[in-house]
Amino acid sequence: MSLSTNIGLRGLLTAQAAMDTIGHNVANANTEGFSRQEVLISNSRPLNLRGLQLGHGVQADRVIRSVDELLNSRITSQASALGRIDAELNEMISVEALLSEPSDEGIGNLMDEIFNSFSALSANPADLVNRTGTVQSTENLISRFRQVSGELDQLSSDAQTKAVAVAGSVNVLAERVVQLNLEITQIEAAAGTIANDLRDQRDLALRQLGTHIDVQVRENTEGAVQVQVGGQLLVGSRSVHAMEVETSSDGSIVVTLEGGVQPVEPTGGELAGLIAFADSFTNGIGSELDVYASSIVREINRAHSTGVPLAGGFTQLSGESLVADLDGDGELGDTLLRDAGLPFDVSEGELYLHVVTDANGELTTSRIEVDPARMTVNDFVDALSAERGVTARLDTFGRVIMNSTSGTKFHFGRPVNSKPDTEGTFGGGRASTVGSFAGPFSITTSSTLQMTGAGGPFTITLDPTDFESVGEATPDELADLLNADPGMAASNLQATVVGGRMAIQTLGEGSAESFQITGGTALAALGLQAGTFTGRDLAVEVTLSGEYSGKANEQWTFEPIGDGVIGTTPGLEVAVRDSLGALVARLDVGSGYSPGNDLAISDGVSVSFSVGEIRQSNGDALSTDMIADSDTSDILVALGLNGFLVGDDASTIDLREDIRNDPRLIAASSTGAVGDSGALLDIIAVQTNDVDELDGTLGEFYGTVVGNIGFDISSASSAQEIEEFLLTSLEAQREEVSGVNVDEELVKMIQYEQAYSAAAQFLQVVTQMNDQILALV
Amino acid sequence: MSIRPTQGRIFALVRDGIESNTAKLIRAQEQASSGKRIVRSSDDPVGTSVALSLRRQIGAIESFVASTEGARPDVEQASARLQEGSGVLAEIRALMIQGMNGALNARDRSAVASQIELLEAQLLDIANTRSGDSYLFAGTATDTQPFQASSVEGESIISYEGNDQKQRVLTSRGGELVLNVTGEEVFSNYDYTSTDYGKVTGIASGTTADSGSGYETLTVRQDGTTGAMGEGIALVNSGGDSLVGDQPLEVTAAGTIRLGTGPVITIPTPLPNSLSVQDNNGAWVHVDLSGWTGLDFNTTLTGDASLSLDGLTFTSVDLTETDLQLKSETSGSIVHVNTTGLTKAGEELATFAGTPSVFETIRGAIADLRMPDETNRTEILNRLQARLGELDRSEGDLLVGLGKLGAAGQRITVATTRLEDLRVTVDGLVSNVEDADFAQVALDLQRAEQTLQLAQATGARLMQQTLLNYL
Repeated sequence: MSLSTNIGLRGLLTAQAAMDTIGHNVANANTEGFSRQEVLISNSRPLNLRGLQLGHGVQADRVIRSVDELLNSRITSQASALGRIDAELNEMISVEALLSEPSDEGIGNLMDEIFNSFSALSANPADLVNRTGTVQSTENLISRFRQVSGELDQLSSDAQTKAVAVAGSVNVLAERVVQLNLEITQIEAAAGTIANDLRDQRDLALRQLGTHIDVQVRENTEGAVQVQVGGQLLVGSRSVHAMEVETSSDGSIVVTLEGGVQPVEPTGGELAGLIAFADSFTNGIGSELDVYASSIVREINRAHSTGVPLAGGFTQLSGESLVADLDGDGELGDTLLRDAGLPFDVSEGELYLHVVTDANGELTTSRIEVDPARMTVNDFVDALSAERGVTARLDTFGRVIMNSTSGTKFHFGRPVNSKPDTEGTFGGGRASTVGSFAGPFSITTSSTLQMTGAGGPFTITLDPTDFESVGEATPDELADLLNADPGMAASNLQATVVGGRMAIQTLGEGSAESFQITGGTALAALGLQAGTFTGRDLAVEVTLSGEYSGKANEQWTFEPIGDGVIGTTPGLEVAVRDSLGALVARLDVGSGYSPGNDLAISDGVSVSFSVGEIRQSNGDALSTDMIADSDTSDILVALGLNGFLVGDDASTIDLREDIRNDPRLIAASSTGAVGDSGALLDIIAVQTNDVDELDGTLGEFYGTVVGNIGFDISSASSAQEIEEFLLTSLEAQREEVSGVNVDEELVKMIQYEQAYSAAAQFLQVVTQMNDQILALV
Repeated sequence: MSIRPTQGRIFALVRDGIESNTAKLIRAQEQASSGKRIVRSSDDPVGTSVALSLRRQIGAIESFVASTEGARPDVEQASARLQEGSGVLAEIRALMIQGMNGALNARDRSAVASQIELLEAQLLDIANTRSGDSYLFAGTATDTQPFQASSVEGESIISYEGNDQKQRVLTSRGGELVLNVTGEEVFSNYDYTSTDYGKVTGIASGTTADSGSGYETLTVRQDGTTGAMGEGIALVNSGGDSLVGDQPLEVTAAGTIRLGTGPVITIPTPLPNSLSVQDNNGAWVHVDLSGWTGLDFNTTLTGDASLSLDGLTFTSVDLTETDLQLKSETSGSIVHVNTTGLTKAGEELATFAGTPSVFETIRGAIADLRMPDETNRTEILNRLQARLGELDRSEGDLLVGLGKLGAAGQRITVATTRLEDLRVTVDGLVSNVEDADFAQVALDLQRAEQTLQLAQATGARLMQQTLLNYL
């Protein structure tokens, strides 16, 4: 009888356990990470009674959870993949939003507006309203650049802050996993027990860990898990190696684990996304925007630096770039130009400097050869100072400061010098002769030059050691040396340089002036010829006009072919040769020429000669510079002299401060005339010119940058969709295995409710049976 | 294995369905409200690139419109002023022709000159036209008044102070448009051909070329007459003689006197102490006949002369010089003259043909018209004739300039129209790429709405179904 009572009791207990589990399942139907549980029931061991194998009812063996471990680990790694893409995409979308392209407020459009304002100015280059408009539109671009660059920096530091927060969550989760490990191993130490709910919680924690960083999970026989990140241990069976994130000002994010030697390189999870963004910030958009800004500064300044402001020149100009003392010897100027830490490269080339005399508008042009690999900053400053009318120095901050001497102005434009024969060596009134070739001249030991002038005969002796480069005399050195000779002064003679050739002439003018070169061993080396040279009463005035449209810088030399009087001698010609000696033009100035009329030479330049005598036999010659680009070395851009913009990246780009205060300083003219807009036309051409460093125009480069962000985002978005879909379907699978279907539970509930009722009924019957027996007593 | 749906799965499905359909609805709404198909660059990266490039094209077009539109008023003003100038020149021309009328006396001519003077001031005003702060006819030296009167050695001259450079704007990539004509080319064009003389004194150009501009007055001064005299006849030499070079003087007992092949003059009685005799060239010699014996007398008279270009320095002439150099210290002009043909003293107009500015021509004409009555009428006529030729040349220059401005104006108009067309085209392209197609958006919106409603309806139905309803 007790057997029956026992069976009834077992039935009751088992149904109750099942009901409890069903209740637990229904209660946790919405709990994240919960796995449906089930009571495993079996029939109890039978009793051998009265020779009968009698069933001993039912028993609940244990509670299991319905789970697919493999699926869980796939979900964890999928969560990592999605976490990474989510984080990266979030940051990229922020970048896209702050660029706000395509729109009227974007950098691209503001850039167009600058060129618009330059165009409007080019029609009225002297107009102050237009000049102010140009300053204003530049300010708009600058402030937009500043804003974008500031917000990008903010994004980058936000990403760093996020990374630190994520590392914090990782550590909290890791602690939790360790805690759960301990509890699970304790509980499961009792054979056959499974810590279902704790395992659910641990799975959930691991999965959350996965969204932060990609993890490898391994379970040991005791039921504890080890978690590895990038091959390093984050969670041991009983301990945590805390995660640390280091950030630096350049935006980089470095992850290390406590005790780890090398940084961890996550490949998944939010952290990986943030690190990828940090990388793309330093190598991608951040640096591309910097390249764009510095290209704008370089290209616009390249055109602007050779322009002339409204005043027709400068009396004072200071560089915006600072020369750095890279060798650390305390002296700023002794470094080579290429090593001077300048923001833009200096290349080998030439710079033309013009000095205009205020009183008569006379123009002196000088050419400075720039070789960044040989020339120090001081050399360059000295070369500027060497020009009459200009002083230059390096201030204590490392800026180049230029000043004009009183009564002169200087500029770096490209005017055609209308009065090129300043020395009067081409049919001028002075007695003069010009050598037949340009220096440097090779001087041998004790070579002589014998001359006779008003002061009587004299001899000048030259030695190879008189010159800086021994034996190689530059024309300027030679001229200085000759002018220092007392014989020259006594005879009122001077030596000058005409297009690199030596010229000797009297100081006075007129037919009474004369001198003789009688001989000497240096004659041939200097290209001079012996003879008697007399002055002329009627000096030829040479006037150039027009604008040089040639592509390259040239030095044109004018020489008569034959001797004769302009406009009179039949067949008299003037040859114009370029720097290489090639013939540019042969001008007929003979009997068919009316003195004073313009003769076209080439490339938009014309010349006119007044009446007078020119002599080939005297070596008459004059040289003048034809300038296409007055700064082929870009040294003005590098030193920040007469730029329009300053700075060299997106955060430092700015309008030159003194232009902001005085728009008259915008260098619109290329010749010095106020109505000329040559420099502006060059600036406008920047809009359409290809930039070597960018493989395209400025606009195309920017378009590519914006386009690339768009492409990245749209491809990341589709990747995100795919990853999300994968995760969703994995989770759907997990739901199928582990999820709670309330209806199903309800069915089971009814099933066990009925089982319970039945067992109770059975017990009642057994009780009745007992009562009947007892009634017998 | 059959699908085992769970509550969580059902809820997730319903939620996902509603979320994704709401997102579509929002996207369509965003397009509808902004009017843009591309709101962010990632909406259509290719389209964004195209849109940016098209926007750059519009930018370049706007640049050019900005510069040409800015230039148009100046071009139009310059053109209008030159037209006015051409009218002024026509009036001056008419007045000069009127002044050439032989019936006019000095006062009448002076009145004409005054009228021309007024017109000259008007022309100068035109040449110095300003637009805002800049001079229109000064080349690129727009801050310099192009035509300025200055006084050289007491003589007022008008010189060109601008430059010969062109103001340019970019019309398109590489294309340039010249906006101005310089004052030099329209009012003061230099195209020297030769030096001409007024054929008064018999002077001619020498062998060496000359240089100078405009006009110079060459003075041939008579420095005295010499000759072997006799029969009581003497030379007066008290000024007024104008003979230069040799000329025979023949006095006959019949009472006539003749210089060279000039008119035969009957010697009046009583015998004059100063008789003016003129030769065939119009040169005068004054002879004192008061002590004449009445006999035949033949001799050769020689007039000495000095030449000057500026009226300050005189060079005495040996009449065999074929290439004598004369220089004006005031203007710097240099002429070479052949003196062998000199026959009489006087003022000679040396014209550097093709060189004077229109103002020099007009001022010269005014000076000619103001010449005193006793001046030879033919000389005035000759001079004015020469000035008229120059005036015509100047008018030609002005019309050429007007033509250039007209062409520039037309190019601006054509370019502006072309640009407007281009802008419409490019705007259309940008709109194609960037802007939302409203019909499409409306359809999308409707579709998204319907799907959302469907998802909500089915979701609600699905969620309502639970066994609990029946327990």
